[in-house]
Amino acid sequence: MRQYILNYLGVRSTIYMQEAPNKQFAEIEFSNHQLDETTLPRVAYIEYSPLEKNLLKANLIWTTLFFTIGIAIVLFLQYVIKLDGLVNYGNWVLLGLMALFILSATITYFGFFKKSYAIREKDIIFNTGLFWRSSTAIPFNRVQHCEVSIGPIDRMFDLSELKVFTAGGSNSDLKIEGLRPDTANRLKDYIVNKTGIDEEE
Amino acid sequence: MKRSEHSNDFSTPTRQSMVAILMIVLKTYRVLVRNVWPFLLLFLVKGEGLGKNHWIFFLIGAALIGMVYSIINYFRYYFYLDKEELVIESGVLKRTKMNVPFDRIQTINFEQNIIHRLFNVVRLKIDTAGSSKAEFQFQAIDSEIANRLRNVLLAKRKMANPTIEESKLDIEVKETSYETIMQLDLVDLIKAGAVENHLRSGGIILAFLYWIWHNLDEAQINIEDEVGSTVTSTVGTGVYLIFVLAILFVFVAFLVSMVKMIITNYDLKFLRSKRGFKINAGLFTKKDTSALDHKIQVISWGDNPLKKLIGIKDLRLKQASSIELNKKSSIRVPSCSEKHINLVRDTLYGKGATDGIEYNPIDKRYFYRNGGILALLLTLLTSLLVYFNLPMQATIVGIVGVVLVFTFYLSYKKKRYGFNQEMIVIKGGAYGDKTEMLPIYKIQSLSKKQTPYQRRNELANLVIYTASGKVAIPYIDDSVAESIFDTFLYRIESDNKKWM
Repeated sequence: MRQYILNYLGVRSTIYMQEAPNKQFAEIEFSNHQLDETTLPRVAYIEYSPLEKNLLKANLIWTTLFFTIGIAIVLFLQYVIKLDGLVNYGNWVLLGLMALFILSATITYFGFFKKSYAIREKDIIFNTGLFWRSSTAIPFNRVQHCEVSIGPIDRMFDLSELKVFTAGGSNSDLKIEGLRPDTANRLKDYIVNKTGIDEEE
Repeated sequence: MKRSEHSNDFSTPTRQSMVAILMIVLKTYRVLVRNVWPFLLLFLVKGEGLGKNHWIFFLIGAALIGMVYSIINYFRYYFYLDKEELVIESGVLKRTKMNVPFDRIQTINFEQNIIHRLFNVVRLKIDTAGSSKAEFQFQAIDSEIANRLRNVLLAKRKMANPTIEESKLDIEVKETSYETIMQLDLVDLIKAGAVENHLRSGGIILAFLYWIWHNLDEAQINIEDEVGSTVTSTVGTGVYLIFVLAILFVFVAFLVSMVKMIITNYDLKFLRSKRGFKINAGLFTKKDTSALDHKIQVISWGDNPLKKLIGIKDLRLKQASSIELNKKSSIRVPSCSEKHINLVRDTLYGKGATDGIEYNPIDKRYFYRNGGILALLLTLLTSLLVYFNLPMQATIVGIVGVVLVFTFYLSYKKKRYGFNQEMIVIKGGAYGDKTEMLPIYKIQSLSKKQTPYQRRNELANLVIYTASGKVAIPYIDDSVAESIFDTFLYRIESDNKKWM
């Protein structure tokens, strides 16, 4: 099914396997009568698609640029303006900035690989978070509206952001950045189409 | 108003009641005064050179302009019904025209304060879905016209969107009789006020006292001097003073919650119509809030130890709202009995909706982790205080710490969750009890969250988002969370019931 949808969408991304679950699901103690648990579609077995590598590139470049400018400003204040505090402690400030830069670049880098999404027949799921993981699912029959936004920075890297809104408030909305514009638009059309069908039923 | 008398369908512009002019004038003056009072003050103090006469002319002029403006505003503010939408035109200099499609209208609320009641008019508020700014209100409109408008709008809305409810439109719309579920008289209110959460009112008072203290300090009035001059001994009177202050504090906190309860809930009527609930209460301003069945997303009720003692609970009906998690959109019924709650539950979800639910506890690591971190931090703080020789502060922090950790323990012990084919129920509370309940098909989206600690221990939090806020099940087995996630998604996706 997923392959079919991917073909439909024309998503040209490599298939990315989620870590295989190391538990036997049949053994789980969980009662929920009247519905055969084992036949339910499971989120755990979905193959998730990663985001475009360009997003990582873009994010890393922007992080670098941000810190380069920050460091340049500190250097300028330290050596040209000769600000009192910075003349004495400037090196420590620079060291701190460098450490922050390394930290944020690392988080950006590893965090990127934790972001993934999947589209199923009836819902969209997005995973994110390096340390604090979260995985959010929105059923299409609860989608309020859907939009694709391409910012000036996005355009430089051939990226776009897909936003899926529900009535559940801003915390429950999905914002998937790092999709190619054509993919994002196809996803949007697919979701809108699905939402429409559900409405008619 | 005059024009509308010969048109029942509101197709010609309808204005507010004439009484509204008075209200608009008052409002304009209020806005004027609020915006220019610093200048007025400045002139009063410093501008004596201008002479008294100038002042009077200036004021009269401003008042006249304000009045003319208000009257023009009154005549240029009206609404009418088009084929598929409610059109509101307003503005004195800049005209705005707002079109609200009938099926976008969410709530129609009536409010009455003393002036309204004198003239038999109501304040009409119409709330729409989507953006929060599209809300509009009429200061005053004849009750009769307002009621008719409500009926017409409801009927039109059904025609615009017949899927909401099938057939029998006319009968239902005309049927405006309400069945009273419960009514609170003054005695009930006093009882309910007496068992309110006084800690909350106490908090407000504490903040107020702190503010006074701070200001007195600024004004260099030393309270200890003032008090100390009348008493001689230090230790004995100190304790005595604290004791008296504590009693006074409790008394004032009590009084504040009592007054608040009576003002907001005076003469409360909790009513049931065919399609929804309505609450009507208030001492100075009679407020009329309704919640239609299909708009209610979550219901919750709870108590505290005092309330438990006399057997009353607080019931909340949380509605879908454009403004996220707004208290305004949730109906609060104080002083409910078990019987009333069961009645509301059965009306909304049918008898036996919660049958067959098994309640599961959450993982004990919820307490170990949260309580542990809290205990550690407070122990550190206490030791620091002891180290710096502040025994008094150390004792207070120590006691607060023990209480907090114990509260965590209770909240862990009481947390239970369960669900069946239709409903989700989450129980909780620390010293009191709290229950939240929602039908599965009202879920908007689902989220499974894990902290690094939870990941190591194969635990997860499940967050359920609804159109009236979120509900969370913390610290459950990761595999269980996953399984619930799948089940709920399946339920939402296979159910075609409208969530609103």
